[in-house]
Amino acid sequence: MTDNVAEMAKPLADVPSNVPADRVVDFDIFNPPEIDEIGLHEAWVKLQQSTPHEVVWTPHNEGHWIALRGKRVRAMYRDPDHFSSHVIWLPKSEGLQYGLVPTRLDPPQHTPFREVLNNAIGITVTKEVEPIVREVAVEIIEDLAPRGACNFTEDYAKQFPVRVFLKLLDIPYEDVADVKKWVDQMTRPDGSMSMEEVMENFFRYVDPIIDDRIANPGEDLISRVVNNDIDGRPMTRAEMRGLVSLLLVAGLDTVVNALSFFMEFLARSASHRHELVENPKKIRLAVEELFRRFPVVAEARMVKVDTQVDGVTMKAGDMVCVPTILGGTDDQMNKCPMQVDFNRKDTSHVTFGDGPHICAGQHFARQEARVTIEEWLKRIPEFEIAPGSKIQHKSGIVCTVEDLPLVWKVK
Amino acid sequence: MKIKVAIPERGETEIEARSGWTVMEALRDAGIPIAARCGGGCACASCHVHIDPAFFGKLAPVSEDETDLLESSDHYDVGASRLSCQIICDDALDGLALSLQPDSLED
Repeated sequence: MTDNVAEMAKPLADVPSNVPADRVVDFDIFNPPEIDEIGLHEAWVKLQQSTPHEVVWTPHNEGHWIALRGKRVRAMYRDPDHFSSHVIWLPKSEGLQYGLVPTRLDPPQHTPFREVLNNAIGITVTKEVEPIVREVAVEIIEDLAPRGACNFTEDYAKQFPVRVFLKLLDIPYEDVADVKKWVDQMTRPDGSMSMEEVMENFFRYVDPIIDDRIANPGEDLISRVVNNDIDGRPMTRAEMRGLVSLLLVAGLDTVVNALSFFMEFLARSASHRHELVENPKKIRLAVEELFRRFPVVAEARMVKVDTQVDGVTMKAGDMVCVPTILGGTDDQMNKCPMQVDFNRKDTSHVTFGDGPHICAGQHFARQEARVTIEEWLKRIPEFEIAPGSKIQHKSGIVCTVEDLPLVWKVK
Repeated sequence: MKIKVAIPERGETEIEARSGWTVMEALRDAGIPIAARCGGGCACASCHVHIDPAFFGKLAPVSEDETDLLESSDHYDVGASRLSCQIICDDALDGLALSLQPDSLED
């Protein structure tokens, strides 16, 4: 639900001539109908199930297409020749301001930058840093366990990835509140700051850190990123700012939210909790099932050349919302998709996107989620939502659980 | 590095891959119809390939998690099967020859 008056007053876009009337839907990705009553994923799936079409168009947020089926979403992510990353955030006028390298580049320009990220946060580094991740998780959970209650979003989800990243990036703890505030304005803007101001703040913050890591390179992720070349030429300052900012945005705003949805589910389902407490080896594939069922990202692509999709013509420059939210939850991708089944076979999802821009931190995210659930269930095997509390979800480029009050009996 | 790819009922092709990417990503970005339904997380078996014997022994060892998934495949071959999302391209593997399996083709 949006509480911002300026946001609500924004006019709807006129329907362009290439949009057939039967494709027009009334859907605001920042405030989907009925999200407060039925929940985030259910609200999106309701849109998917409301039409036989694979793509629809909404006049909200300056007017854009929405891909509704997982296979369509995957195909678009895999087809940068038609669906460009030149603009990836809605509304388009805001997305044009947002400039983190390399998220806005298409192959082949994108390729060497992605290699830098693969080296900084890919499979190999992920395995190396597992002990650090586990240490942070244990520290926070051991602090919480004797309290018998917590607000999971505040007390764990917002602390954990931040503390992990502080260690991996080697930046001071007192900076985190500011950084988190700018990240939130990027992904769920409330109108208090323009995207331009957000980016200025970000770059002003990262510049001295970049200078320091060029002068005194260490083993941290920022050093690994900035002390690189791009196909043999030195990296520019703008490119370094983009990559470092991206590490912060991606590290501080995604796992936080996915974890909150996972824990809301586990708090509500004793049988799923018991299954994992009794058989912790199942946690790895259980985490995959949770990522399938609770995707949190709704990115966009810009149509590069006029393209026929599902019987309509998308015009060059049109925006398409490509929600990962409608991948694993699509009944054409997985049977009984809204059911969580830790024994599910042939799991299919696009929770981390797909194609050249698939989440560079996907392995890291899986590890953070797995380690959290492993260490949490060891210490707090039984927990539930605090009686009487209503859990609110918020939709956006990255979707969230607002607050998640949990309670448990102290041993 | 180059990768030689055999696709069931569609013949062979050769693609160029860059070091540091996974073989699955190289196949996907070259337009090879690989399913890779979990996106590369060693969590499904839909990027399953058979590796040419000349290269199988040169690859980093298989993890327990990967073996569990491979064993569930109808086309599991203990001396050839790997998940292509777990192999990182490296110039030492230049000429890597592999074949997609029916369970790894995009539908």
